[in-house]
Amino acid sequence: MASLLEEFEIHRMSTPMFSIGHHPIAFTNSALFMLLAITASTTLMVLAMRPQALVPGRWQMLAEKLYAMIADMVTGTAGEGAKPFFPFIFTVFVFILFCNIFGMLPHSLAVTSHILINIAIAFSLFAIILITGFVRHGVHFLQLFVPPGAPKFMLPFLVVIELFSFLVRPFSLSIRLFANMLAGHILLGVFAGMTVSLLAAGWLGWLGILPLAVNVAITGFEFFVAFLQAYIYAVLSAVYLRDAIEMH
Amino acid sequence: MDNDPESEKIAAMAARIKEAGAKPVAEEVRGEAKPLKMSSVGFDFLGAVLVCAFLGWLADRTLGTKPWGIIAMLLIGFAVGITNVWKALGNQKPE
Repeated sequence: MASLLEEFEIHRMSTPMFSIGHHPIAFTNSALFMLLAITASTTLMVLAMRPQALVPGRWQMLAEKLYAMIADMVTGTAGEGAKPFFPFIFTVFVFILFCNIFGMLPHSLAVTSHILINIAIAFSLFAIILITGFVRHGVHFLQLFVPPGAPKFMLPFLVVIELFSFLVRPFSLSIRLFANMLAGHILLGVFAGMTVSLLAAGWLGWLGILPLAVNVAITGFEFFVAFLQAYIYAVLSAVYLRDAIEMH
Repeated sequence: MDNDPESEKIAAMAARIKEAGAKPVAEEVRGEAKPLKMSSVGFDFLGAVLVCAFLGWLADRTLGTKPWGIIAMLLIGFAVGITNVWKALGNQKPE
């Protein structure tokens, strides 16, 4: 039986094009699915909004609903001042959503099940937060690490905790997405393997219908998780952005 | 013309549109977002402990302070994790 982790393997699809340091950079299957996600999402958005009808059709409705959902969420959680950051959050949301959904195709790779991709997105988010914070509030942005109303003798300890709490955020944000995608896909693999094993178990073979039924349910659930995790990533991005904009 | 079924339908639809528009969307989204965040609040704790433990391990390896780095950073990691969960559940002031 093939390894459960085989579907997450990254392999080269071209000869190395150039190298950074000693690390050769080639076009991998991960890059292919990222490219696919970007192409598909851009095509959807551009083509769906082409009619610009007053009464939207199905596709235009889809694009408008996605846009409005994230726009309302951003202004709802981070305030009106977060409008300039809406394009970034919307792009991240659509990219993660399409990567997750393309990962559900058989023989495909769920790009977001690799933590490096999520950390790369989270780091760019935190670069934005730090730059906006320091540009808007100057040195006062460091007050973020000083909880208001805390007793003086507790301050050194609390500042360390607040500092690490901020440092840990990009990682917990990416671990959440990575773990959900990885676990879901492994679960699908486990139940598929169980079906095959039961089929080979002689007169007990008819029991194989049970894990198969579970797999059908999990497949549906995974589509929900694909959407939910992309949305949670966007919500938490907006929540973290609020610190840089409002400061408490 | 008053009892024309078509115009009654349109009037009912207009009432429904008005009703749907009256609900502030931001409020609705904020209400939805909270259980969503709660559903995966464990990762806030896990992430804090993992990252802090890794930092401690790294400090041990580079500074040769074995095993104090990882012990201290694990303790800090637990504290940070609890703070993060506390914040994620909507209590902004860690007191």
